[in-house]
Amino acid sequence: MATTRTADMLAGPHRRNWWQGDSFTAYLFILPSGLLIALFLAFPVIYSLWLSLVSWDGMSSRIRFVGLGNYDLLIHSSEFWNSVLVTAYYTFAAVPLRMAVALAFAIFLNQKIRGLGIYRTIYFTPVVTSGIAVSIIFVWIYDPTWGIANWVLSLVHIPPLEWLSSPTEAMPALILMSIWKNMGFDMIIYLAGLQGIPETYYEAARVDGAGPWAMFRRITWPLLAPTTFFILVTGIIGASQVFDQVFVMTNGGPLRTTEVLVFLLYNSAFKFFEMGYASAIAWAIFLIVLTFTILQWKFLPQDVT
Amino acid sequence: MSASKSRATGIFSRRGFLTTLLGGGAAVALAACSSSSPSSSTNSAAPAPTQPAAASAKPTTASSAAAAPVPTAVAPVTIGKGTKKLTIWHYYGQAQADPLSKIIEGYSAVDPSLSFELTFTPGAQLLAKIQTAIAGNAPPDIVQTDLVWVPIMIDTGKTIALDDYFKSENFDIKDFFDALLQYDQGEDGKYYAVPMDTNNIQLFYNKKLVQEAGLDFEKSPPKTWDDLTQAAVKLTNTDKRQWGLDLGAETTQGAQGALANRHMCFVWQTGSQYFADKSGRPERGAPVFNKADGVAAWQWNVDIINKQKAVPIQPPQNGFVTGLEGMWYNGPWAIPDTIRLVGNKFEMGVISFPAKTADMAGTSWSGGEHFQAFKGANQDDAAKFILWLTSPKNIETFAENAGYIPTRQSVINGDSYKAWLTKNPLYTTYAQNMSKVHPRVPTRLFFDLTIAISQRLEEAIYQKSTVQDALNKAAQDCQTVFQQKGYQPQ
Repeated sequence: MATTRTADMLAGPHRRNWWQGDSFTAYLFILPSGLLIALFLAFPVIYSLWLSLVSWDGMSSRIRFVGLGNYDLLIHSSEFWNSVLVTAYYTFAAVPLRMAVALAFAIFLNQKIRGLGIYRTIYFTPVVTSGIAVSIIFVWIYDPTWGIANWVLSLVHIPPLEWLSSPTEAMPALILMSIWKNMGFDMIIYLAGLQGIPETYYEAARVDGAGPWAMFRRITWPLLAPTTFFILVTGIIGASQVFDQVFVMTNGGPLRTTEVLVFLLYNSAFKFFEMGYASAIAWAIFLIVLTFTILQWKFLPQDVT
Repeated sequence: MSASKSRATGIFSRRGFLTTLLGGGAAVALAACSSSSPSSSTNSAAPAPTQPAAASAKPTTASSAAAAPVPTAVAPVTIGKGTKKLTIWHYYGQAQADPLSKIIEGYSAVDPSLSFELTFTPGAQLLAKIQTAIAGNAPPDIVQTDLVWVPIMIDTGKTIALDDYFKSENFDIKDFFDALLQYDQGEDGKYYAVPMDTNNIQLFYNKKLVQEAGLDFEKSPPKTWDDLTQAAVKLTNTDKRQWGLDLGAETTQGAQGALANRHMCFVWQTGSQYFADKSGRPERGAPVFNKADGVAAWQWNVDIINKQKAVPIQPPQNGFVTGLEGMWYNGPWAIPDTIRLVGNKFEMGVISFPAKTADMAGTSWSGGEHFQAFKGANQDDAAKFILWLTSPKNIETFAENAGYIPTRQSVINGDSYKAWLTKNPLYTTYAQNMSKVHPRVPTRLFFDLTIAISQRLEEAIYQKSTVQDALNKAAQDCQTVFQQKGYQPQ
């Protein structure tokens, strides 16, 4: 034993092989996940970048390198810019409204009332319901002749609307549906945020004679800044990629007033068989969303100040 | 601070919350219970019980308003006990898939070594699925597609020409209607698909409503656009929320290219062409749908919606089967389910769709499903199977059981089918008008062109532009498509 140890010491520092280190073991553990991410995330992203540089119908063997030609077509396409505006309309209307409704519901649910769990479940159920199924139901709800929406309006003596077949009403109809469908998610996040606000702040405010609105403005809203930031960023990212309800309910019409960017991408890829152009649209969406996200990180309050 | 304490004393007290909730509920209750004036009785009527949607087997190109409750993707069905399996992808609804399966069972007598795996995919998804499969080099052996997809498939170079098998299988391709074969023929003149079933668009009518309006379609059916306008106006009753005519959604909200499909029919009803080439292949001839006849055709559509107000922009869901529409522009695939849903409420009839002049009544586009085989190890068996499947006997059997029209002239003109029609008179108009059908843009540019044209036609419907301007822009859009896709602009 002593001889072995002496020999080791005389041999100098023990060199471990690369497969014997802790790092290697760690890499082995993450290898399965890494492979999945590489295969289903990294590879498609890189492949789509390459696709955006070619002209290809996605089926034949005719693939032609066009460089930035697809992006050039995109920039000069009135359909693309129309879709940018339509998507912006949807995003910047649906997200803030949804957040406002979610916050209101979260405040209401932040009470010690009987059946609180049931109410939360009810309001969260639309979130977990299939988007396609909800869209089909809303097509019926918005039916100008039979729909419940017009019946409700008739109760308060408002004339029936055309809803999805009106160029001015179709997008608000989609936005309303989106608020109903997704509000529950934001509500749960806000609820968690509200429950993290110390009660002592409200007690002190009441002692000072502050009313509900003052408490909301001076305590609740500022302390919800991180939560609001999170919901806003994720909401904008999600809303920019809306597709399901447009595909089912309006097909981008009428008059292209609901033709959002992802729907344009879908048409380009699967109706017009322009995989390269569709990939360029995908990257344009990515760049637009990334830009907005960076701007939000830079200019919106993320912490309590 | 515990979470429960924080939760219990938020901004609103329990009393405040309950007060708000009760107050809001009272407000809604008051609004619901308020009486309505007679003039608004239509608006305040409670919605009628919803009816199940009328089924349609045309999920991609139908212009009908009723949604199709096609079954969701189900497990593949295997037919036959042979060891060699051929895969077939299709989008037939249950009403068509069942008769198809029964027919395929008969192939075991021809070649017992084969079995078939039928996989259903809803029509809107099937084309994307095929596209993905081709890109992944894993297409099925056989695919059933809408006829307008056939040129797209041919263009991939992945489907096989069937001509080599015509002689050995004693197959007469010329027995099929020429309007259907134009989709199946590649640039090399060879046939890459065979029509299984077909249809065209005519006019359903509600006999009860027609009679109540003082009309008699049996004795004097409308034959011209003017006749149709007058009938539609008489059948429209806003107090009852009843529309005279349903032409399908007037927006691109329905099938995106539907308006262009309809405009084509109307242009052909004037005796004019849509594109200058006689076969209708746009890449061979300039768009001519913006000439006088094309303008007149769409002007009629615009006027009946906006001036006569006898056609809704958005037809009510299941309007015809619930008795809210006097007439419905539709195809034979809708007959089985329409009869089932209508039940005893009223009797329906079918007449030729009126045209600009009476002699052109019934002129329509041709629709249908075609079968084609992909290149691969099983292509020989697949080709022979397709030719067997589309034999006269099978074509007739399928048409009679599936709600379609036979694709073979010998079958339509045969005594057996004529005898069947006497027992199923609703299909007679469709069968008789097969001689007047035209192919709808039989080119791989089908979606590019019909969607571009439809978007301009929609502008005219919403009166955002005149019909002439809209059609001129549509023609220009077509030229842009030609340029972008590498065709010589005309």
